[in-house]
Amino acid sequence: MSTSTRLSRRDFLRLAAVGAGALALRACGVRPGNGTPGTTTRITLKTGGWPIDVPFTGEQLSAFQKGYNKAFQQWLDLNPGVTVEKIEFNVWSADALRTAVAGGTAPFQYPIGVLGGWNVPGIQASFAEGLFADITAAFHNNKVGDLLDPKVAASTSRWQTRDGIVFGIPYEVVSSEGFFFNRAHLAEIGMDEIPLTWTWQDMRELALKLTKGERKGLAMAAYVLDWILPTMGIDFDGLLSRYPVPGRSFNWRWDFTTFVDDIAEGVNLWRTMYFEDQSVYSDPNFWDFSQNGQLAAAFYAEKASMTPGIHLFFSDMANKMNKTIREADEFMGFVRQPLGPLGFTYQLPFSVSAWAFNPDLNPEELDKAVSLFSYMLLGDGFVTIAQEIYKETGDPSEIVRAIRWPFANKYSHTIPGVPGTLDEATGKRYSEAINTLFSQPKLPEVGEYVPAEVNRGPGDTPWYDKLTRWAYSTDPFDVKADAAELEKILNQQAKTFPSGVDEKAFAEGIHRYYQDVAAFLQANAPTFYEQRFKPFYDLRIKPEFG
Amino acid sequence: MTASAETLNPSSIAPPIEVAQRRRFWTNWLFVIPAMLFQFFWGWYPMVVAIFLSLTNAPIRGDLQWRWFENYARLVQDPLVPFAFRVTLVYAALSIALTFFIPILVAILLMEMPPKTMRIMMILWYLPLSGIASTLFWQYMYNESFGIFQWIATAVLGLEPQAFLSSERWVLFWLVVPGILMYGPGLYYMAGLQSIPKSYYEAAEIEGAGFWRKIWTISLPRLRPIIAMTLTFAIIGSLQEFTWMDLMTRGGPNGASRTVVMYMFTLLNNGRYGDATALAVMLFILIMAIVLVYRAVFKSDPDV
Repeated sequence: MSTSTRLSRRDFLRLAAVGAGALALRACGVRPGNGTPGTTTRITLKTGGWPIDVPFTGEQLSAFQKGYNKAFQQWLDLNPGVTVEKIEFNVWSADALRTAVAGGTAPFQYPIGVLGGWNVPGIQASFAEGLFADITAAFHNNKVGDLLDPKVAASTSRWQTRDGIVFGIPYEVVSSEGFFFNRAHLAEIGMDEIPLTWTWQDMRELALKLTKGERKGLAMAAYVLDWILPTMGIDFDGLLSRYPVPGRSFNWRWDFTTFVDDIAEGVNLWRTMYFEDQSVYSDPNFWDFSQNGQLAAAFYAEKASMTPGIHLFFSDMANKMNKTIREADEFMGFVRQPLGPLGFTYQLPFSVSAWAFNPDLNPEELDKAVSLFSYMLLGDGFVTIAQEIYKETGDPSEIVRAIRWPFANKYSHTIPGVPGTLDEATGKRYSEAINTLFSQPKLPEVGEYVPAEVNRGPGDTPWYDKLTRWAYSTDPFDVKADAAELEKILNQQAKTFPSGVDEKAFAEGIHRYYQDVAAFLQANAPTFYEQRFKPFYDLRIKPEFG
Repeated sequence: MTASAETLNPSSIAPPIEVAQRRRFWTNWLFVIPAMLFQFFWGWYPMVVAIFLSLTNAPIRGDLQWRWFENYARLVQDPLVPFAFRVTLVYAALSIALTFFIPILVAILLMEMPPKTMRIMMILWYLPLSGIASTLFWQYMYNESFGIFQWIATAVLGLEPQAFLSSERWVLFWLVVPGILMYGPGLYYMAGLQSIPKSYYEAAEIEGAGFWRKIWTISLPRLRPIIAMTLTFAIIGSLQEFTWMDLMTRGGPNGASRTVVMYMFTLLNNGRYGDATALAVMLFILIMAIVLVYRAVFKSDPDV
């Protein structure tokens, strides 16, 4: 071997230094030899792949995929210079999304609820924190409001501020949580449908009747106790268990002792069903609330006659069971949660699921991002996709199978170029139930009345601690002592948080909120109003707010 | 000058001593720098930033504002914080007591077995399993409706149905149990025991030492450096436990298995970054204190 080709230690050190420098430059995003960027204004939108994806590839595309590709190309033709790039990113992971938004690497669109906690105060606070872009100009420029279903357009609290600043675009409507039930099992006990006015006690009796051999009347998890108690006004942010105290650091305090007998009643109902009736398929390890978990699996296998869910699961459940939409309508129905013993439900008939946009995008990029999103999900692109599905399958119900119905846009009932109505295609009984549910009166939401508080205050951890104990613990416990402890923990935590909202605006909003709640309850849950809300109002609200 | 003469003259082929020292100096640094950079970016830098952030409002976006010790004051007044520290310390104590010392005993007993039996037992004991797979496996084992433990308790032992993970009093114990069977640092002990010269034991036998005497005066002292190292890791690891609890119980029931790191994660999910980093700093101080006390008390050198 020639000595000239041997790598000396000095050469090695030099090479290592050069390599390290190149790696450092690479890490800093510098690409040697790239030169100065061109002056062409090109926009690249990075997506996590849902709901806006890049065109599908492959030999055997589904009808939806073909329609999507066609609509996507139409939009690209209308918007030259824009490219969409797919990045590996899970927008449903709150940790990943928060980190990406903080670091400027988030995709152009992501679900508002993931960062906002799926509730109005959390969503509004997240916007105030700067986690969502202000898309007001792009929203109006692209006339997105005209594309929305009127009910969705009017329900703004999850995508607009009280001042009309737009920070999201409605993507789906989500029903109140409820139960899917097996129609054949219901028929065995002489029932056809479950009425909207059913109560938790009705549900207990129904579950008992439906329990037969190895089959349980109901599959459910501990979170259902967190459905029972709120219908009594008791929750972490329950109507009767949380009250405003402006001007004393954090603006809210908790009271779990005034109506503690109601808590004991709700806990007792759940535990009787779980431990004594043996009518519930459940386990402390069951936590999932989806169409893919153990609870739903028991329902598919007809080991349980009812399972918790939201209406959005319907199409996926049909797919899971290899049923057509109409077969699924024959197999199962959906009903909202039961009412509390005094006729109250905290549940909204539906809420709007909206998507936010990356706050690091410039106005031009935001305009294109909003244009693409609204075109594909609400406007002409959506229509193209639906038409293609119909053209390919000849069956309007395939549209419902591919895109969860009802939609946030104005095409929930009819779509140009598609014969008949989507209600018929979805299945008569199911669509009637959903349409009836969605037209129920809506309980006012406090987030629509008071300014957004960036400081979110105590979390719901202590509440869920007690729920897990009350739901499953076999150790002895005292609900009254637990309720007092819970109240003490939350109020002690609340005192340590400052408030950043204008006290006057808060007080004014609170006054209007409780007035509207009172009017709603008098009209829709008069017994609850008289026996629970009025005493609460006189004790906690009237002295401070008149 | 002949070739042999050249080779005998060091000055003709070797660089001056100063140059050689300089080269060695840079070569040494070249090998050390990657490790230092790694430690800097993944160890020291996050630690310093965490301490810094714990004194601010730590917003995801927007202006950073000094809060000084406000986050710490809030945590001190939060009843869930001392509770989480208590759970963490109890879990760590249980975990170390049950999963740290038992493998030492098992390793010593394995070494006393015939080689073939020992190998089979080692395979069974140290069978590598994926963390998530074992978690799922244990979830089913503990299932109160159809788990094998419940079957053993009720059908075999004739006991009342057991609560296992839904018992506030017993949940930490049941969470530690899998560690006894699957996560002991036994392989380290086996390696340590195999490195002890047989002549030590032979000499002890000639002097009339019995089984336990040999363990007490030879095996355990010679294992002391390994025990010191693994105990340090065990203390740090058990005080930072998160995944196992999160997957098995989510901190329940009633917070009975919520460790400090789990509560930290909850604060992060609530967007309370300042509070979460302050809690991380508090945990860091606790771990440092425990490890320093332990290192001061426990001598790792077997000959001291």
